[in-house]
Amino acid sequence: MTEDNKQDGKPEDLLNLTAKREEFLDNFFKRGAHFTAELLGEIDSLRKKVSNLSEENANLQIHLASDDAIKDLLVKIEKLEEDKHKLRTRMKDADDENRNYIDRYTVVEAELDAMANLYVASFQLHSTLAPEGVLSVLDQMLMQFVGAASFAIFLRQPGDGEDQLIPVHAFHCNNVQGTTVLWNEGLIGESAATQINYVGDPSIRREDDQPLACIPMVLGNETVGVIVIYGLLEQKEKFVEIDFELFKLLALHSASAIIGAGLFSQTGGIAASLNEYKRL
Amino acid sequence: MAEYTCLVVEDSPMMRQLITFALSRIKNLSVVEADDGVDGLKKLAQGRFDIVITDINMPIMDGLKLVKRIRSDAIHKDVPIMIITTEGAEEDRQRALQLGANSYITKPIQAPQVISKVKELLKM
Repeated sequence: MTEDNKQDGKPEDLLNLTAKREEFLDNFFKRGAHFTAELLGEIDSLRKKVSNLSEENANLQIHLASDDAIKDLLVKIEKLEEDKHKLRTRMKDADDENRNYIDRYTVVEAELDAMANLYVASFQLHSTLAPEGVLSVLDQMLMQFVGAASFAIFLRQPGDGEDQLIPVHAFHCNNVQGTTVLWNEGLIGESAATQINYVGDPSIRREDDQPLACIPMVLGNETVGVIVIYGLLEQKEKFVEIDFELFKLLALHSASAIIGAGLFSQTGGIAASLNEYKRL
Repeated sequence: MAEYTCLVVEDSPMMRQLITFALSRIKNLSVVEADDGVDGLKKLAQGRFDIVITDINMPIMDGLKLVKRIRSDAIHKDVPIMIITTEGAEEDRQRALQLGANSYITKPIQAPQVISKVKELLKM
């Protein structure tokens, strides 16, 4: 048997070979199937990765788009900021201009007010040729326009030596009656001699008979007299710009009004006065 | 034609002129002047007024009596009254307001103040 087997060993080898071949094929196909399965798994995994990457890409694109939008918005904001700045500058300029107009308007108002006061005062001062009328106008001017509560009018009286000033009219200051002021002495006398207004500060305490303001009345180069203010109305706390303008007007116009009215009362009225012009 | 008429009662021609001058700056407002309280009442009886401005210290009839008379007048009892006076004491102000004055301004006056008050009283 052993010999037989040795003699016909070919079929056995063939069988082995067939088995090996089948095993090989089986292994081959198994490995092929396994490889295919692995490959499919990998493809699936890659598909998932591609899908994820696509999704990520889409997201990135959206981000990118929103970044662009933000950039656009930032540019717009910057432009709007510039516009806002320009508008603010223009508004400030307009505001400044407006304030300037208001200031100018206030100044014009004040000037108009002052001019109205001066016009009315001048108009009234020269509207009468009676001495008592002139004094009445001076009363009204001092009390109602300036706000003086007590005042007196001193007129110049030539003396043997130095000239003097005597009170001819007093309003709420009876203490001046009968007094005489020497030329160039005291505030009143000095004001008359120098022809310079004296205006004190009402807030500073002083004696009742101490003048608060002295306004010399001047005609040409001659002092006619002095208007003396002793006190102000309760509500009048200080002298204001218009008061100084009124003092200037009083200094210049009241003298001519007083002298004119005095002369007119001596001439015998309008007809006699006009006759004087016929001689010219 | 003026829309509003104002009666200015003031014995001082200077103040009358100054107040009238100030009021002339208000559009549609005409001014009638009176020398004292009695003259003021006469002028009131002759027409209709939208506002009365009066001084206090006046001969014949003072401003406070005029205020009382106006407040008892059938036609003008509701007319706004502004006092312009040299009397600056608080009791004078209170007395005038109690009698029926609507506004109280002390002299010396400033035109813008008067204009503004008149406009306020006339609701212009």
